[in-house]
Amino acid sequence: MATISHFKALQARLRSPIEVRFLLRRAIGGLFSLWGAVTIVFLMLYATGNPAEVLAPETATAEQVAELARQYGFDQPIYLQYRNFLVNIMQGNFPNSLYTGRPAFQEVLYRVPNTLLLGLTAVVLGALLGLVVGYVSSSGRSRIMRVVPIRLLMILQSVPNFFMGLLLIYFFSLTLRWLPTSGFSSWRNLILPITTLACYVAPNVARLFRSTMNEIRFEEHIQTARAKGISERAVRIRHNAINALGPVTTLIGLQLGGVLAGAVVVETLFAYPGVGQLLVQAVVSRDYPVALAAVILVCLGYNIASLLVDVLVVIIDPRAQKR
Amino acid sequence: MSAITTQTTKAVRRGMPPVGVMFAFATLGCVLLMTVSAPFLGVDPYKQDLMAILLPPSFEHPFGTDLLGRDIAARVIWGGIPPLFVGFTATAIAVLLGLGFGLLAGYRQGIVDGFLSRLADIQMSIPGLVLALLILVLFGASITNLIIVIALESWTMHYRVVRSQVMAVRNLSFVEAARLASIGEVWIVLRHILPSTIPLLAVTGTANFSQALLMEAALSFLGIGVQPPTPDWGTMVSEGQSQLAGGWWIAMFPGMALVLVMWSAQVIGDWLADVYSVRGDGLQ
Amino acid sequence: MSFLDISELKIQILSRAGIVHPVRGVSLQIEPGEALGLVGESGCGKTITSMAIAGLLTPSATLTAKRFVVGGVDMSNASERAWRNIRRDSVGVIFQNPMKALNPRMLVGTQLAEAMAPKDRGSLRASHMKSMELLDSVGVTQPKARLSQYPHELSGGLAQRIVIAMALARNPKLLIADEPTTALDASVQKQILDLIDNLRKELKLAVLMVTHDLGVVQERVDRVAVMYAGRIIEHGATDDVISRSSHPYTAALVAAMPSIDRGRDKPLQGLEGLPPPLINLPGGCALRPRCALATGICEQIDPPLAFVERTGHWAACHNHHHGRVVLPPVIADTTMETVAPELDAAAIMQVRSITKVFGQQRLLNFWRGPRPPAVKDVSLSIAPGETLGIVGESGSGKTTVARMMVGLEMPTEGEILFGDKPLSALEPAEIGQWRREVQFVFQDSSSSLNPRFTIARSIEESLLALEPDAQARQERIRKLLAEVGLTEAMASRKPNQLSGGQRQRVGIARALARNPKLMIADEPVSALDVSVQATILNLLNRLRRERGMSYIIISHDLGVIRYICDRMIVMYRGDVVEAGSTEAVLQNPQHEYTRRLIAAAPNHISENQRSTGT
Repeated sequence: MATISHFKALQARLRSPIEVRFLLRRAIGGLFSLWGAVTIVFLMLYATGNPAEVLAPETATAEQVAELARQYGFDQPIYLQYRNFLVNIMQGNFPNSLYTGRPAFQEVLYRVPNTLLLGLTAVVLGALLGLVVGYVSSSGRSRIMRVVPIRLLMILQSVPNFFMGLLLIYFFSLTLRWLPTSGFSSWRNLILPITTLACYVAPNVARLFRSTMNEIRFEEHIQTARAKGISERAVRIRHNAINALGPVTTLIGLQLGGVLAGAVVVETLFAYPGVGQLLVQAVVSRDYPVALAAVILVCLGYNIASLLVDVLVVIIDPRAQKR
Repeated sequence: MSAITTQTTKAVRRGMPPVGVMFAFATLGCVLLMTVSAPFLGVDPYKQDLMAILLPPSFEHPFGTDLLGRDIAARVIWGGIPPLFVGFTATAIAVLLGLGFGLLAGYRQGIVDGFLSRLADIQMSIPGLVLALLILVLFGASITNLIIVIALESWTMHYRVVRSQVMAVRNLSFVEAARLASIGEVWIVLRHILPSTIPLLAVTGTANFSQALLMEAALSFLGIGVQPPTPDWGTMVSEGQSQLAGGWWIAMFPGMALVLVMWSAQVIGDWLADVYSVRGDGLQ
Repeated sequence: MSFLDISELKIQILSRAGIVHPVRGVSLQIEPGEALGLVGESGCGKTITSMAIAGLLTPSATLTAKRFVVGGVDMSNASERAWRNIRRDSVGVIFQNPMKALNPRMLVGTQLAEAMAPKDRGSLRASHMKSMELLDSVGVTQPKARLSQYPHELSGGLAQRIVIAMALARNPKLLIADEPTTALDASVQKQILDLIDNLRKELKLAVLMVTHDLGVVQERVDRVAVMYAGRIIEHGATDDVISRSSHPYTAALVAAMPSIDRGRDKPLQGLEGLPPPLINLPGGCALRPRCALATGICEQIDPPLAFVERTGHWAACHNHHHGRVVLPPVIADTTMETVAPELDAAAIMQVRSITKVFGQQRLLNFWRGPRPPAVKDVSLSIAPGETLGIVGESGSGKTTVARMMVGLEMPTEGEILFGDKPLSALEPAEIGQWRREVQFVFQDSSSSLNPRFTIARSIEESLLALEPDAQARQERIRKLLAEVGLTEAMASRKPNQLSGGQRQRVGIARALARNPKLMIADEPVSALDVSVQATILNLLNRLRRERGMSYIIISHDLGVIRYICDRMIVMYRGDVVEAGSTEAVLQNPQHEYTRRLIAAAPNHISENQRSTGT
């Protein structure tokens, strides 16, 4: 057999597990869902009676309402209204906040980085914690290592996140006075909210990771790896653990909604200036334009996040893209 | 090799539940009993006693009193009514919706399945709490709306599980044999397919219950669910937040009640999943 | 010196029901360049023995042995590290299902590299060269392209070659092959067995071939050890053991095997009953309850493996009397008298050039393009009293044809006639008649019965539309159970309390309940052990003679078709490539594919071997 260059050898080993067809299908699915979500928002707005009345300030006169209706096309037949609604959203064209008077989308976008910082850090840290505990409970040397950490973590699972946050505030802010209770002035403000949110992610990850690892431990392909004579540690990590990441990633994807809900609650609890807090404020104060804009943007972000998770799942298990 | 590792038989698994599970059942039972009997215990969650505000737990007020001098113990007993009622009702509605649609989509397949599954996809592309906030703000916060919102939010979970189970069972040989024996479609669904979904629904139903409970509590905590002064665990935790420094007990006891119920539901759900060897995390 | 030398290997597994003894004293030796076949039916302990030899037991199992030497190293108390060294340097393992034996997440190239010695995977280039060399040696086409493929993109045969390449990566001296071809199609089976054979000769490998199929073993291995209930019960040169069995179990296995060389006049002989559970096994011979030769002593003493002089090999039986065991002749009931088919009578069913294309249109699925048809322009007809076999590999469309005949699938084109009317034009009453007179027996006996229903209820379902009276239904169920050889006590059991063979009998009883004229059986025995297979095939033959039914038997096994069917058709990728009387097709195959299929069928025990011996 002819010799071969390094580059060619590398080329044979590098191959993207993701097929264009899968990406295309998944992206179309995501767009479809997003369209559905926006449509549901529209239908609900429409079901309240007069959308213009909802979106106008409570003090607005009939002329002002009519003006707003004309501006956003709410005085036209429903199918035109629907078209206008879609077009306006795509252009970011939406009524101003009833309180600050700034464009609603801008108001929301302004808060997005804060929420991303909180949410991403919490998911990553929570997942890491869950993976470590799950691995230890599946492959730990002593029984104590295998049992205690996961038991402790599982208790967290039944603590509602707002109560969890409250307990953390009570101990670390009020009693020990280590950390600030609310606001966002330094990185120290982030510790408690991130911990609270991470405590939501970690237990399920740990449990699923452990059970999947145990389930596939003696599957044929892992026995094949053992039969190659590589070390048990390598088998555990390279074959058992990494293969068990697929279901865990899928689970994180399914939990994204829960993480978002958690973010809304946690941001409100810690008065953290994120999208969630804005949404709750807008809802409580009946600032409908901002509330709707926040809902739509949250759906967008959520769909992008689940798309990314699905891609991650395919990287871990290329079979997942075959349906 | 798999035959070696899975020596455990169903018969062994189906014995008495382990101690932890019994304890969870007992806990849930106690909380339920207390809540149901709240109107008959003669405790008044609204009675204000301005001479006794912010008292720490004592013999007279085992859980202490709040800023208005109301007895926390009485409010905790009454406060279980909204979350438990919402939890049970919403779960029942969601299970029925999910079961009905799941059977329909899984058995009929084709266009019905396409439509329902797309609907479920769209539903799932809106994060639960966000959808709930939207509906409650547009249509007003009431117990009924809470139930509707939570039920609409969670039917997809049962739908997906039932649908995939039906799709798996409907092509099994014994169902085809029934079809060849001229058994009617409705009978096939009732005799052969429906029974196999019950264990799954037991698991998803339990998971749904604790999620519904959490959602109700979270919404109430945010001030968009049950409105004060109606006693409600979530609302009470929210009220306690402002008094955390001066009266930890206001938030602590309703919060612990929530933790107890959620813990019991989770332990029971895990046990059911284990008994029926079903994965309760929605991953099939 | 033997490369592998094991004596008195015992394995225990702690389970919740008690201590299981899957291996109860097994002794084996294999020389370099020699192949030993380890043969037995499911649950006899052969797989766990082979895994123990590779040190791959699960932690719940414990192992004791008088002697356990692999490659000159004593492994009886070896550490995990010592086992790993043995596996790395001198043992290669091939697993049963190649699609499961490769890590779905990793490229073939990465997995191959992982199996190599450090010097071979020192650089990407070195490992690439070694991979190409390995793939070339196991006959993989386009090796370079394979390296950057995922396992799920490979066919079964290709995947098995890659598993073999991985096993060979460090030049092992012992190759353990655990049912290496069971999951593969017949034509691929032969290639894989040939490959293992050639590698053994070239590389002087010691080979341990674990299989349930005596036919696979026959021409490939020098010596064979037959296992039953965790022990080796017969051991010797392959031809000796097969043609001059000194143990009734081996003799029964040989007599139970359908084969394309076997005349129809020679009835198969099955083994009734089940292997014993290996918990709290009572003393005495484990085969005793199923053995036709059992006497009083078998109940007390478990016979040791002893040399049998006249047959020249080892056997563990009290009754071989130092020679070949002779099983009592088969009960006349099961012999096959050819029922003359009424060929001039009108056909029960006719299939007229049907085509089936699978795949319903789904939303967001439009760019997938048309799929190839599963069945292409197939025609056949079946007359009263006739038996037709349809043979083909998985994916050949044979099952789809059968399913269309009973209405479980709809043909895309063409029509199916019941009597002389197309199915689509039947009146309601005629549909009822069709549903009664044409019955279907399913392949998979574990899912063919509702796990929640008792046996009686499963059969009753088939009677509901015919017999309104509940009392009479119960009476019919009793008769049907007796007819298929089940006791009345079975009626109240659930399917998971029955063995595979018993479940298949229930499936047949359910079909018989409607007094069919035509019974279509889809792989009726493929999920069963050989000895049980034979009893079901005999049952089918008996029922046919007693009831004068017609059969359509779908099978991948030419031996099964030969044993039951007058006429056969051969399907390949949806096409009928050959049709004719069974004798004619097997004696004088016309189509290339049929010839390949016949060549690939494991050369079963030939007639002269069967009759020779003392």
